[in-house]
Amino acid sequence: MAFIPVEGDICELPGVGGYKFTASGLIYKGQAVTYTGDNTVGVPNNNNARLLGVADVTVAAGNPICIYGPGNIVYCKLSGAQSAGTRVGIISEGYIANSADYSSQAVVVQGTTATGDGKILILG
Amino acid sequence: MAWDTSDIKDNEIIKQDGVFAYLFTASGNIYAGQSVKIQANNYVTPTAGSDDGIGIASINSTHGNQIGVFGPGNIVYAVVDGTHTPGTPLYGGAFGIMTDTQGASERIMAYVVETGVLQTTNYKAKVLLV
Repeated sequence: MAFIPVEGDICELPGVGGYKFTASGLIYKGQAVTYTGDNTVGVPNNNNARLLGVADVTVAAGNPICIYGPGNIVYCKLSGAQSAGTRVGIISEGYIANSADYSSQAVVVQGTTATGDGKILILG
Repeated sequence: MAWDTSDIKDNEIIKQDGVFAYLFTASGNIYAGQSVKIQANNYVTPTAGSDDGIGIASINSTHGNQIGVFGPGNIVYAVVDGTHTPGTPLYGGAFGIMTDTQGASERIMAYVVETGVLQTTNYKAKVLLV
């Protein structure tokens, strides 16, 4: 499925805990990202990546990007129905789901009944 | 062991000024210093054992009212079930009292920074939330 950027502000409390990285590829606002190299982040193409955080803006490859990481409550794209309190992680294309590989990287704070915008608390 | 309101007061929770708290709505009564988990969309409730705790309540609150929760990255005072030495991993326990006993697949929610001191019933310790 193609990623559809999240509308509105990503971070619940703007101004806290944003990291500056360089985008290794096109990253959409609200997309979850993983580590792709020295000081670079990108969107994984599989379900066993490590969640770093959620992108604050849409940027092209090679550009600086603000990532909200652990300790932040952010809006993101949940894949499928996800209920509040569920442990979740990053999956392909930067969606957030109850990943079998890394299922404790975040907790759903505001869930959805189908794929769409949700809110998560990113953990360490 | 049960929650004892004389163990910790709501002005004793935060250790460092200037750190942020999340705003949630209380599901049921919540006391300052209790470990809480996500109950429903934007609602928190005290951990009840083997729950994934996400933070520590900053104030006393009743069902349906707003409550601040200190989450990962904060060093706070919280109620624990024993002295526990610095570095001990803690988990969400019954009555919102953190414990060093891990439930099934339960995530670590904090590490002890300063050894717990016995209050009236339980212990008050300084912890780093993760």
